[in-house]
Amino acid sequence: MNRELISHIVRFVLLIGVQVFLLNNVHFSGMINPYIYLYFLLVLPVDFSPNAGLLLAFVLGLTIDLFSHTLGMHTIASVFFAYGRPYILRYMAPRDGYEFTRTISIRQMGWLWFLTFSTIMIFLHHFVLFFIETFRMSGLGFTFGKSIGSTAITLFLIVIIQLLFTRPPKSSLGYE
Amino acid sequence: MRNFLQFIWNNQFTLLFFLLEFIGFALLTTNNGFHNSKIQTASTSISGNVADIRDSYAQYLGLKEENEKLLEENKRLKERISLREGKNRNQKLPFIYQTAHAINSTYSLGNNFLILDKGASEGVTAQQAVVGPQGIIGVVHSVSDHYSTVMPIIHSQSTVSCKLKKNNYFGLLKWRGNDDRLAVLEDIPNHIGVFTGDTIVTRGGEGIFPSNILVGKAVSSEKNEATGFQAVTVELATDFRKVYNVYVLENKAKPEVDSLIQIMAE
Repeated sequence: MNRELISHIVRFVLLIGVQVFLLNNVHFSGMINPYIYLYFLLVLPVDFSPNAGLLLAFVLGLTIDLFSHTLGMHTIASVFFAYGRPYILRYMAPRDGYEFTRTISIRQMGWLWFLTFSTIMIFLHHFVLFFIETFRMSGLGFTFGKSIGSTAITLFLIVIIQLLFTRPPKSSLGYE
Repeated sequence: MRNFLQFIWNNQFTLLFFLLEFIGFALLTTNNGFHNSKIQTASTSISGNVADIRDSYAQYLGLKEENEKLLEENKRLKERISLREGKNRNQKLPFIYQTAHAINSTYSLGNNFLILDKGASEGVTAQQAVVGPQGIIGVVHSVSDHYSTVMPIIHSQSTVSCKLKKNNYFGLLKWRGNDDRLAVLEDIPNHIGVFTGDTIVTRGGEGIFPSNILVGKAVSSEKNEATGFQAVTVELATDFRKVYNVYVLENKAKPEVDSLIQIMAE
């Protein structure tokens, strides 16, 4: 448990660093910005307290806001993300329910489940974010397109992180 | 009472959600408009420091000094021009130019911003004009001790009073949020012929910008028969994708202009 906590904290700091120093300066084709810091909220354990999730999302969003001079925008989108997460998780629960200690990863949940879950969650967040940014109904189509483009890039980066940094679970039985 | 407490306990997740979102929206709304709240200043200071660190790694070391010399020389020349123009028009108090660098800037967001490496201790205050070598950039939004943020033309809430250079008809320059090279000049009467290539310059009405600073060139114009006004699409002279050396302009006459406007309003 302790090791898990440390890895959460390290992930929190690293993701903010990458987001602020690197990705905030990347604009694919001038319009599309990836928001990799979402990965932290995405892979919180399934049984993680929803209230604590909300508070963590608030702190994370506020930190990103302070660093990238967009006060309020990432906070609102992240808190919205954390609010929707338990509902989506419940909706997408496998037939036998989640095993108690299961973390959210490609290896644990499978490609199809992970990609579906991530796409829904990331799109929700990006749409709220870009909607607040433009704040006009007239630009809804534009906001929609921008959200889809950015979701694709963020998803791509998150899958890469998954493949690079998650180790296969150590099985005491010697097989998986 | 018991029921009420029970209700709160049962809905703690949703209530917490609304509370946090409320705080988020409160932050968002204080961020817009010209406020210098504490959290605003803190945010400017933090993002300024981050940008500074990044900038110091991104820049060629040798070129830095060379650019600085040229910038200082430009500043002196611009001040002399400003003084000259002031004399010609019997304007006693010219604009004072100060050099600065845009150490961070965005162009792909709906509300873009720039961060300059000059702040309150160098005499920068909110509502000062920012122009680049190519044309106008924006207005200083908030300042911390050593940094300041700029609301550029390409911000959804930016409005600048501009005019057609050829006949002085004026309107408000706004940005529609989807292309960092194009802005829209509104409130030009329909009967005024606007052609591709017409030059748009600042009007200098609010006492922020000097008049006749280049804004851009007209690309097309859309007439609205219902209102009687046309919206002119303007190709901005400033390329916000490579803004770096800028000038912050202090208008010595602004308090005087402001007090006159104040009297009119009363």
